[in-house]
Amino acid sequence: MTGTRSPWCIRLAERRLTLRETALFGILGGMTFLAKMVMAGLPNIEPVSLMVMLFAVTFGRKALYPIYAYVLLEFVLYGLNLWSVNYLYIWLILAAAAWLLRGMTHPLGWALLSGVFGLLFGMLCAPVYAVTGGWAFAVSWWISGIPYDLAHCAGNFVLTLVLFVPLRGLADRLYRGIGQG
Amino acid sequence: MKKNGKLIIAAVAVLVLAAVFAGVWAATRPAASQGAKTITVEVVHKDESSKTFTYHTDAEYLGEVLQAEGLVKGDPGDYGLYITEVDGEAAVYETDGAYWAFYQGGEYANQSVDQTPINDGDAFSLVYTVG
Repeated sequence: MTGTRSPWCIRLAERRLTLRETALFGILGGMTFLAKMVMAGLPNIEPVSLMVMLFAVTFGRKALYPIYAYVLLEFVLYGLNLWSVNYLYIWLILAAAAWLLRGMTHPLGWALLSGVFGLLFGMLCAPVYAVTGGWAFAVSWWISGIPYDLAHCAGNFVLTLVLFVPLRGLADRLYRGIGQG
Repeated sequence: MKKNGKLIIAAVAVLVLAAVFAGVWAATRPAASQGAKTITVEVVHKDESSKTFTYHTDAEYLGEVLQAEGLVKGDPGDYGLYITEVDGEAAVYETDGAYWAFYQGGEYANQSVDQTPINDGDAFSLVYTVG
């Protein structure tokens, strides 16, 4: 097997976490959760999309660790419900998209990706509601939430436009600083 | 220049998509009637006791009425008001999986109270539910 290998398919030895990585990913998952709590009062403005994209472009496959550390904290605090199923897959979609576009440098490109994710958030969650209530219910649920998705889109766009590029540089330096990356 | 062109096209595409979504929502939104309307809200408590409240209102959406009358308290959620307390009784999902289920005309509603338009004669229920 030659050529560029996807970090989503790295060898077992490379998947192992160092102690520093374990600490870093735990802290980042916790910080993501904390930042979301702090911003909870702002209507549909959340930092999670921004952080998930940062994790994906900085850590590759290992982004799964801070992402699911965050998801686990959500489950522990809010318990398990239908939305829990959404949280199991929805951040992976954004992480995969960010990783595929990792070569992109323009902040507008990242802002657009984050904005589209916010816009499609309800649509991406809807299949879970189709399983429980049928497709008509899922579509109706998605449409009734469109104003919230529009706000989510705008919030993600602005937050990512301002913060993604500087935070990406910071995350790269941090990861190299602990002897990784 | 070529990259900027792609970004501009992408930005326009996102705007168009957002406009289409907004159009779908506006076209399918149930219309609220204006003027004096009478509605009933049945509250079924944890002990299964039930109270029915009747309101006369000009408000367009149920959430405005319930909050103005002090019947419900809640927090803004990702998809509208998440009701935490009704008629003085709190449901704490984190503690025992309890929540206030919202029904419109006997059917489980798929939108929050603040997204629910009011028409004269509408009947709603808020039921303390566990699990």
